[in-house]
Amino acid sequence: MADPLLSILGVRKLFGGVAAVCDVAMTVAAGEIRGLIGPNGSGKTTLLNLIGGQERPDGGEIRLDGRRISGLPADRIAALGVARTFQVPRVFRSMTVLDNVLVPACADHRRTAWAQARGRAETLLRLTRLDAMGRMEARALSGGQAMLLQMARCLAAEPLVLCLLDEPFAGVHPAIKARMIETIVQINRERGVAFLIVSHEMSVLGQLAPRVSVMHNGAWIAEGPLADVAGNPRVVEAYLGRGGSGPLSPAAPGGV
Amino acid sequence: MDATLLTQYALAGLVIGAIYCLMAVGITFIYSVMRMINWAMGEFYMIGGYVQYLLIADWLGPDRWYLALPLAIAGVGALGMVVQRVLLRPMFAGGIERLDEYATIVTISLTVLFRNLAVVIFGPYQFSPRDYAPPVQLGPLPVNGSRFVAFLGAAALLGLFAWVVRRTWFGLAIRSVAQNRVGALCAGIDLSRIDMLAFGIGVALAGAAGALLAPVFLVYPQSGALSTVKGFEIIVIGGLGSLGGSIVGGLLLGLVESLGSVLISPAFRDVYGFGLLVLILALRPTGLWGERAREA
Repeated sequence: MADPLLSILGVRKLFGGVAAVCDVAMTVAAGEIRGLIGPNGSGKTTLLNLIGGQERPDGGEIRLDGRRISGLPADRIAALGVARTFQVPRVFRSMTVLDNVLVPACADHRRTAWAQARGRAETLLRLTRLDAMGRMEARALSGGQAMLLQMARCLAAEPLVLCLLDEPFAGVHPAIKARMIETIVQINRERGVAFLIVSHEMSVLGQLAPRVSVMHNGAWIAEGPLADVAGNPRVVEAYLGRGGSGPLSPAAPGGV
Repeated sequence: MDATLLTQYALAGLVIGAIYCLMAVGITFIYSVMRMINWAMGEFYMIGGYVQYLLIADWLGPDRWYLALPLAIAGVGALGMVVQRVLLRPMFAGGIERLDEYATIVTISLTVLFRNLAVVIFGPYQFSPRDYAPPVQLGPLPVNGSRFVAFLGAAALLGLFAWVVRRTWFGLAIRSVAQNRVGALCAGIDLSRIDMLAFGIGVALAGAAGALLAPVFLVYPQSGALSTVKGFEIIVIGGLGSLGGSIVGGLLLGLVESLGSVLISPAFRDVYGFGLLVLILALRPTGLWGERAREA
């Protein structure tokens, strides 16, 4: 494999005495779609916050294309091509849907012509099939549509090398979910954008991501194709609890 | 009551109302973007008045008053950006919890500082640049020239402000920050730069009001106190966070004060606005166009 796009090297984040993320090490290759799974409270969102710059790590280092990004402010990390979405859609509710998708362009408006940015935004709205609502205020959207809009805004960033999607499919109507999947696949294929997707929807991840990483109690515990990982005893234990699942429970207790 | 006289007073009310709008729009703009109240707004108004007076009386001469206005506005805006950069930016570092208290303490301290600096530098005297425009005839009504200039200036600035906020890249960035700071940050917007510019623009509007009114009212160290109160009255009337509400509220306050003065008694001029305020609070506690819902 070539040099990884994203390298997370022994990253640690403490909240008070609790380690939300402890010594996680993983890499994501350029153009890869990677799933990130783990039980609730396992530190997945915190890890995304650390990569995106919403939180600063207490230890370790995060590199993008070999360049250290941990410690940079979030807007600088975004300018390097890392965009993200949130579990609760953070859309600009009193703006039109089209303006929402134009916002990333105003961060670098000196290099982007209005017409070009607008063309790009309209293409994205067509791709996500939100184009009919372009002139509506975002507050009129349903929860799923707002998630979709948030993703479209994230994809409107230029440059864009890595998208961090935090539970993009949670509570979303199947039709919109299918559009999200199509969009991710298409953007990944056409622009070579890598995705790191936190989700509990194993069937969707199985479809999208050749490999998934698993976190538990802030630690990285496994990585590989979803089918392999699902059979990993540590993963089963993380999800089902120790001793709760008969033959799948780990042979050696006290491992975690 | 003579209809001509009444119209004249109504017109005078609207002129002052337009200036009040500048103050209120400045307050609500800073609040919308930074979620903080700038209690020193009136002191920036006062400084705008002094700068205008100095430019006209000493540096440029009364003939070039039209140059003095943009210079005074730019000067107050630049001062605001320095204040934001040096005194207010630290409150955004390391946790948002202390934001409100910090902003309140810093800006209230600034009112004390600026007022006393004005006393130290200029003394407790009252200044006024003389009228720079001749009276204007509006139909049958004569209007004081400086007031007329103040009205046109306020209307032009509000128009320019609305254009920037609605039609430019910068305006889009500002609106995104006002609606969702984290979302804007993750879209690559530099919040600290936007905050600094927004604070500068907000206080520049107050400076503009002070500069425009310098020949109409007097310039003295406490001259901003009342204008801060008026600004907040308008905010409560129009609704915090609503730019349209600030404009309607400002014009309404100007009208009520002016008509109250002529119909009842000029001695209670400042009371009529409070009457309106109490009425609005009783009927619509969030103001005419209060925020529909506060967002994180």
